[in-house]
Amino acid sequence: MAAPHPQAVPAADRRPGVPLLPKGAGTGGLPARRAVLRWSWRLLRRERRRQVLLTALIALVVGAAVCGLAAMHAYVQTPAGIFGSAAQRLHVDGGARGAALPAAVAEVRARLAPADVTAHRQVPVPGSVNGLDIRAEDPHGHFTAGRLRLLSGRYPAGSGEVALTPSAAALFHTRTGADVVLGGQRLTVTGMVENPGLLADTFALAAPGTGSAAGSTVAGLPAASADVLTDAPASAVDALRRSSPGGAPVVNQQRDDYGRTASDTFVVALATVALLLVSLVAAAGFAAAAHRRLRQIGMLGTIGATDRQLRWVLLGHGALTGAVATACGAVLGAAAWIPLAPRLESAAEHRIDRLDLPWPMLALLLVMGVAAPTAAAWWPARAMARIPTARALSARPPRPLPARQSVWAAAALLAAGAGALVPSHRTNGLLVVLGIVGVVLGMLLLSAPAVRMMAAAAGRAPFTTRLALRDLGRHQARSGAALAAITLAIGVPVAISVLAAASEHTADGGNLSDRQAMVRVGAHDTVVPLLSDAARRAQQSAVDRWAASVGGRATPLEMAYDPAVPHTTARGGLEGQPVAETGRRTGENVWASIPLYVATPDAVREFGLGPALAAAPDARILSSLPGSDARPLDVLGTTRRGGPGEDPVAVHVPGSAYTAVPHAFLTQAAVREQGLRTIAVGWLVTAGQGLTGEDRAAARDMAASGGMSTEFRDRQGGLRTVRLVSVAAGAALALGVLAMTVGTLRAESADDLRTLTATGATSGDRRALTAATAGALALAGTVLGALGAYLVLLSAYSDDLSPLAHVPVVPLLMAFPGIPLLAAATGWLSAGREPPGLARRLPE
Amino acid sequence: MTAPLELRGVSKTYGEGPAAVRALAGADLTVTAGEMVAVMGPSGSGKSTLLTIAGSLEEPTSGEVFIEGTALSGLSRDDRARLRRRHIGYVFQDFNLLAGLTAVENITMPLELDGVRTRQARRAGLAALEELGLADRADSFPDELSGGQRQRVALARALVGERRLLLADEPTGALDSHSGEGVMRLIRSACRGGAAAVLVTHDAQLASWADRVVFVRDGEIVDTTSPLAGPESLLSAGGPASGEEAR
Repeated sequence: MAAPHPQAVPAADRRPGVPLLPKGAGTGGLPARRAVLRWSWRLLRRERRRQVLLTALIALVVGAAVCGLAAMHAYVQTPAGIFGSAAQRLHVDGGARGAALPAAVAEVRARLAPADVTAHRQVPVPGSVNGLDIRAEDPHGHFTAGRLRLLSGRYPAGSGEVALTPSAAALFHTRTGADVVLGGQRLTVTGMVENPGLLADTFALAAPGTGSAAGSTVAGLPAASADVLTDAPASAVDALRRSSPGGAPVVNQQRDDYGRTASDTFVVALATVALLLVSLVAAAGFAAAAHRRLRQIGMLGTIGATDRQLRWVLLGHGALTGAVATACGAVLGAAAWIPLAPRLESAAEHRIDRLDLPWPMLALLLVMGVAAPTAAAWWPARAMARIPTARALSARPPRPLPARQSVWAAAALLAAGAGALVPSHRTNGLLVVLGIVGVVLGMLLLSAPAVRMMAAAAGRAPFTTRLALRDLGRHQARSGAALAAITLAIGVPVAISVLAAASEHTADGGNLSDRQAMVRVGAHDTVVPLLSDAARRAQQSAVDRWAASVGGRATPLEMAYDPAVPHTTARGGLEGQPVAETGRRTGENVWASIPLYVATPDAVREFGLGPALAAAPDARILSSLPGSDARPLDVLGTTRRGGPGEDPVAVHVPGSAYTAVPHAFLTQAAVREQGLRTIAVGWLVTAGQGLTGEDRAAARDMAASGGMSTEFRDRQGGLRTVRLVSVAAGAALALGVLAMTVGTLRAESADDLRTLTATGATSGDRRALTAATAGALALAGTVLGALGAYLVLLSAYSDDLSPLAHVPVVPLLMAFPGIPLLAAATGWLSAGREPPGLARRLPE
Repeated sequence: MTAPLELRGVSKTYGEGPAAVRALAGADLTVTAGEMVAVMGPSGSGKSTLLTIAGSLEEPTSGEVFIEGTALSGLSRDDRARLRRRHIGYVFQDFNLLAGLTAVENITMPLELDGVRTRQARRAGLAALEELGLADRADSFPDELSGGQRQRVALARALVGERRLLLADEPTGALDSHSGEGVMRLIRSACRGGAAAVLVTHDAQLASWADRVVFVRDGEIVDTTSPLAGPESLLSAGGPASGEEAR
């Protein structure tokens, strides 16, 4: 009747005692997998309407992750704007009038070849404290590609020509073809250029010098400093830096990814959590699919499919769903990214190459997009394959597994998680991660027992609630997975919300009081811009006026610097002076430091340092840091190297609880002894009353126009937003999960609903049934999620529970009873429709 | 030569304690190659249980089942699955074809599960369909076939390869008499080719196609008989055939 089997042992040839099946034969191999996958794919196509929600959910997560990863990767500053394609950048200071520069540049070129040298000279900008950088850079240099781009016109070719960035052209009200006077020198503008890696870089580009002038002149005049881009080994660069070529000080900077890898990893980690959540939803969906296909699985069993081959049916379903959803998600993400990229450029302040993406991370993301639903299908597949074939043929679902094992496993994981968190003191990353993973897995394992407990407790509930809870228990596989997803969706935002509340400042804490403002020369940085005396006087005058307008006083703040430390570039591109700090060594080449101010008479008066100075005349550092009198503090950022036991005498002084005000002072005697000089770095303004929004706005305007920056009390509005938004997002997610789960559950119970309708149940009964299902799941998920979140936090903060005293009442009320009530109300409103005819059954 | 199927003292009890239900009690049955045995009995008598135990879908509470002389109790779940794949064919009342697979794919599934390459398996499937007169429906899905066609496809799937034991549970229950007769003719034909068949039925007329009828009541085999020459003998050119001739 049919072709003979190639591997079977014909009965006629078999002798008694010879095994019927050769050992190891008939595993099926690739043809079997292909056949099972083919069937799985066909089933998936037949059930595509049921799969739409799940596929869309996975696609959405993958799409958001792809677009988010691309955007985050592109948004982070690119090193190309500073380093070009080089691995190292050296800043060579030419000293007074750049006298030391020609010799230094020649030596650098000789020792670090190949190297690209860019000469710099600052010229004043009329009406601004900031200067303009004129740089002589070779647009076609070995390493400078990526730092220069011609927008229009042409690159300058002679010493009387420059190209400008659009912002520089706007500053000088000039254009291509016109003349511009820079530092008293009349130059012809040949074109518009930009630094594509640093769009905020405002400069004039001059032609690179030739011959002996290369790297040491800008537009025919001596340069003040030079940047060298090179790939030379770090040891060669370090040797050169130590030797100060030509007597010029050299500062070295190694190429940095500016946290790009960390941000990429963060996005992938976030996507992993989202995919975990989706996997739990998918597990519920796959459990439903397994139940639907039980008879078909039985049929496959009768024709001889092994357990492994039966598992492949659902695993194939998961993998194929994942593959389809991931492909859709990737297309979706790419479709969103392509138009987004150019819009991101102005915010990121650099040009964005749409294809400059973290491909390995993207590949990892896509693999996870397929792997997550496949893994989610594993457990339902395993359970399905273990059902006896005769039972499967009658479409009877397997008996739920005993809850006791889950409870014990959950208890063990929760205990282990808490046990890891307690000794972590929130600082040991490994223990924190292990602890959180343990608690999360423990809470997820509690889901199935919680469902059974609800079903068991339904005995005395009203009819509809009883039926709803028992349905949850009957379909424990999918309701347990859904409850796990809701638990996670609620637990994470509750934990974030409580943490945000714990991080909120009290009135006597925070960075500054509501009456204080820090006004800084330049930005908050250890490099203070070098300004002319006129500019300083203008700043002082502006600050005094603003302080007077708020009825307060401005205390000038100064810091110390070592004149032997070369100038460098401050934020904003100005030439700046690195200043000294104080701190301690905390590890091999690791130092913890804070700003070190000079104890000027104004500072002594403002911060009450007089008694301490009088009591300890040999003190050199006055600090309010805890333990500053017991553990030595060092002055950092100077060329002086003290030997062992030569740490300056530090005295503890009472200080402010606010973190942004000065906490460490160097006495004037110490300044003199160490040959340091002082530089004005800003003012602490204390107003007569709390600063209003208008006061802040006026200060910001003053700072912006004077090249300064301001800092006020952080109102932490962001934390409030975090608290509310996290819970709202978690609630939305939980409701989405609920909608999918309840929809699936009720669809599977359509026969019951028809029977109920036939026996006279009203639409109110049907509504109550759906509302009770949704409300019960939401209630259990909220309780488990909140318990899990608090278990993590209480364990992590066990050494100091006081931060957890700030309970985020509103977000917690949003979670409980807000989410269960909302879920029940939504269930009530969305149900009630009469089911299709009694005779109609779901097609197999 | 060993019998394709042998049951020795097979009992099956479902549940425990007071809720225990004895479905089969000490059943002994041997089906030889080329023999067609009909199992009859009232509802709940244990017919289907006997069939599922004989086909290794369920394990007996006690007793032993031998397929081609091999005891099932010594086999793992996977080995039993392989045994079904190679030696046992099932036919059910409601066809039990896999939705989503075409007629020929349904037939080739056991072969492919056993590692036979798709093309080779398809050739075998098409040959089987050709013999059944369904070659033109090879690529039709089950829901595009009539009941009789579906059952013929199920029969082809049950016999594809070198299977020598056919287990049929009310194979014509969902068919009209004409289609039912066609299916019975095919089963009879398979037995002539050397296969053994066990047929569970309520229908005495259907049982008359068998070489032997086994009666089951309350889980026990209470009687075994060789029926009179059945309808097939009336249809054959040589007049009524004796049981020996049929075998």
